[in-house]
Amino acid sequence: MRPRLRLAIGLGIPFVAIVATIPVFSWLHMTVFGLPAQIVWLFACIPLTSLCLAVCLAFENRE
Amino acid sequence: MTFMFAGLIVLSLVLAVVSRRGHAVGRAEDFFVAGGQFGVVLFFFLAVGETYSVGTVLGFPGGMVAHGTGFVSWFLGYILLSFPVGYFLYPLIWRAGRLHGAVTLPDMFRGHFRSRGLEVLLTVASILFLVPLGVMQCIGLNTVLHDLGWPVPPLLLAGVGGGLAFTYIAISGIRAPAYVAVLKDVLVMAAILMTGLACLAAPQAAALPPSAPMPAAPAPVSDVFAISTILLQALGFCVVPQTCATVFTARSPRTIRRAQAAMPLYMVMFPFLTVIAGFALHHDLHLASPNDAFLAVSRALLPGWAAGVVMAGAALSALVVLTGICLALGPLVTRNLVPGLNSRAQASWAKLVMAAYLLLSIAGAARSTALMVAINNLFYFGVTQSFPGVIAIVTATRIRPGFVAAGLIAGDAVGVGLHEAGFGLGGMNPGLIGLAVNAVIVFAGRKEGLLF
Repeated sequence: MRPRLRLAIGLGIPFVAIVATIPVFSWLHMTVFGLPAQIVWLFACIPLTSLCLAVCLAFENRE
Repeated sequence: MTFMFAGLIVLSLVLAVVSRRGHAVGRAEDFFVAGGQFGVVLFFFLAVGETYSVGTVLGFPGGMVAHGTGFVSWFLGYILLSFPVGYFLYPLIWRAGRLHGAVTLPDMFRGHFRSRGLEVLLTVASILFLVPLGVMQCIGLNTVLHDLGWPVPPLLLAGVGGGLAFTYIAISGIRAPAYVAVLKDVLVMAAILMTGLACLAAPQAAALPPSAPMPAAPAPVSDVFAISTILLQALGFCVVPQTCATVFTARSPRTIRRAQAAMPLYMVMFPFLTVIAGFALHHDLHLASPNDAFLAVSRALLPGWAAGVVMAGAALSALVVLTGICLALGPLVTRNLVPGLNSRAQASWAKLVMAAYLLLSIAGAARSTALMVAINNLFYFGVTQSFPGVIAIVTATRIRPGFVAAGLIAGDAVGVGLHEAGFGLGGMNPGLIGLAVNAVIVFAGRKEGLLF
């Protein structure tokens, strides 16, 4: 996998999921189980981030 | 509770002694960075051990009790984003560290920029901004020890905590907190899971009922502040002195990448900490301070022995980070401020410096009752300012050292100055503005390199 693609998967996807969604959730004003939906989304980003890094690692190992 | 707590602390000392077996720790490189021999497991535990300090374990639910959920997005966001940043940046820092024979960040700066003045400046700035972090650990430690209810003066208890941290270091340097971190992380995870599950299982278990959401922050956190704080602190997290020291302990870049990929999963503790904070908010627990929320909930819901596990986990999370800071601070003084000592003298003198730092932190904690989350912010204003210089080093960009020094001073001055003056600037984190000013100055001084 090319370094730029690794960077996009390992850093780009988590960045978009964590940072770029902040204005969207602010605008939505939703709550889930009494918590702001943004916080619940961040909890979901925990395995997502690990998965992205694991994909990068797997490709690096293969190379 | 007391027996369980004391037993686990004794076990941590036994682990520190075990960590010494088969390794000489007389040489400075062995003492401070374990000779760069840690594999994935020890590197993982040392890194997460120093990531989740008592500021996380007690400060996160404390912050929610004090301020509602407003800070949660940036607090979770920056920790989570720091793992991908570290995945790509740490191997580069590791390589640069090996190239320059570095034990500390200023070692790398001296090796790359060939400037004694810059080395001293970065060292002094690092030491200054490490003080609030040590104070934060001691505040957390005081909270735990106070909750044990022993009829002993608080200052004496804090002294015992400081003495424990120093004992770990004296036994085997960086190996001790790495081994103790394994116990600490098991205990912290068990403590958070037990308390969180107890909250969910308690009568009127709806700790977060839809009809009674947590209070919003008194002054809601703006998107600009949240985003700028996540960016600042995710970058800053990767260049704090004790993080770099941890990176130098790794055996290879591959060791670092494998550990980094698994690290986000450790954040599974946060949903449970949120449940615990929700329980504290909706039950009258007579909290001595917001920082006491986690321990008060565990005392209210768990049997005595389990509350002892919780307290030992919280205390060890402060002690492991405190020892990590000390082990980052010692060589800053003995290698970078007062160079010329031989390898064994460095380790000996560093112990004196660490003892002094522990005493200073204990004294600071006795006078300060500041919320841990606020102290966390102040720490990142300062330590992040070495980031542009680190980027220059890992990309082999040649920059005039005077520009790096000017950027460092300007970044610190702008960040702390704007914060103290209370300027709004659209909600932007003043530390990030300082970092931007710093970066512009640093890269204005480039001579040549890979970046340009």
